[in-house]
Amino acid sequence: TRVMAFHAKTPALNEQQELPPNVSTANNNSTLAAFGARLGIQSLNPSLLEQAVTHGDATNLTYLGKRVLGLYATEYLHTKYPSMHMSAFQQILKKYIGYKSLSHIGNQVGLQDVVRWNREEDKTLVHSSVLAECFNALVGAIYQEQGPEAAKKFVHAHILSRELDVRPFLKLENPKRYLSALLKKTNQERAVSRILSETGRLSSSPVFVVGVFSGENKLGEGFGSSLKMAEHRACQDALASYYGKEEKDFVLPSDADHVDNYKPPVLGSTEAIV
Amino acid sequence: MSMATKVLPKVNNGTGAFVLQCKSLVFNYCERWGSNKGMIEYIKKDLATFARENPQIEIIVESRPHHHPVVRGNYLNGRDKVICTRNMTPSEISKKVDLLRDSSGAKLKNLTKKPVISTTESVRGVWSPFHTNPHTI
Repeated sequence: TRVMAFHAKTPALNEQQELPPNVSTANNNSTLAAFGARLGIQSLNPSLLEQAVTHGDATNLTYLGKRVLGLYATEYLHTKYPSMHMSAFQQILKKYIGYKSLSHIGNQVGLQDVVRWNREEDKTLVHSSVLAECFNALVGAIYQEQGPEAAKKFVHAHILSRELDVRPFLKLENPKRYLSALLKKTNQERAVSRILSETGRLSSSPVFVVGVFSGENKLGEGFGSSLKMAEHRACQDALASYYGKEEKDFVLPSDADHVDNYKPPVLGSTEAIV
Repeated sequence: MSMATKVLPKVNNGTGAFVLQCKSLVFNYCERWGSNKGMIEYIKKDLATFARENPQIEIIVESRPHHHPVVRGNYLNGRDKVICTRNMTPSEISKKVDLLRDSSGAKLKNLTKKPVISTTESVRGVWSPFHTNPHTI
């Protein structure tokens, strides 16, 4: 006869074998362990990890993590866009490491299942800001335990590897004025706009393509249904291609001692002030 | 502030860090029903190895009496995928578990309709009758 020897409790899973921390048992936090492994920080001390995701206990780590994150993100973005004007740079930096972005990343990575917070502690506290602060705390915890290199690797892998189109941030009001100021500062010839091509001038939907030139060099090109609009866009294009210039091959300043011949990255000049 | 400035940086999973989309696997078994035999074998023998190999996935084993054995995968996009493993051998169950682990949790898309899916436009352009030689008889 076939006898099925089933046990009343869980089939031999939580007894003899040494179970890994991601298997849920009566008294372990398997969600936290799995979360740590998902982010690649399983080597981090579990109690420190737990402290980082507990909002009440994580204030010191949050503070530290904010500064660390700020350092690596600023360094990277400044090296990548050396000529960026300050207002755009701050906006882009905020897009990467601001609270909205960090809480978005936290949600994508499963932080919301693991974070512990007391809603009554502060009535103004919001879930998304809790996530962002706990993410900062994680960065702080990694920096504290594993050093700056590990923290930098973490920041680059999870946050700075994300793509952001910077062109929309480079728009300025009165681009003509800014462009004139820029050309004056860089000692170039005054800007002159010329029509490159046009169609349907007297119709209801004309299209003008205008280029803005400094001497022989075309700085930017823009289209529009009116000459003014086309010139506006051309100046925007010129400013975007100057301020939004992207460096491709660079060595980050924090990598200076890991390289034999450290060539400092390009240091752009300040924007032309209007 | 245009719409374009409201977008957050886009993630390309794997470009920087790779985050496995399966966050937990729940194994439901029954001690009485015969269809659970393979599942119980799997839990006893192969599950611990799988758990060790995939530390990012939380493994939960729960008894669910008077039901067929089921594996449920929970994903980071909030969805879950359920596979009934009744009357399956442990190796078959292992295959299903691998399938759940490798899935992103997104709804199954019909990929047969479009031959090419790309983020960039075509290199040579799409054919147009206005840009070809006139038809001659």
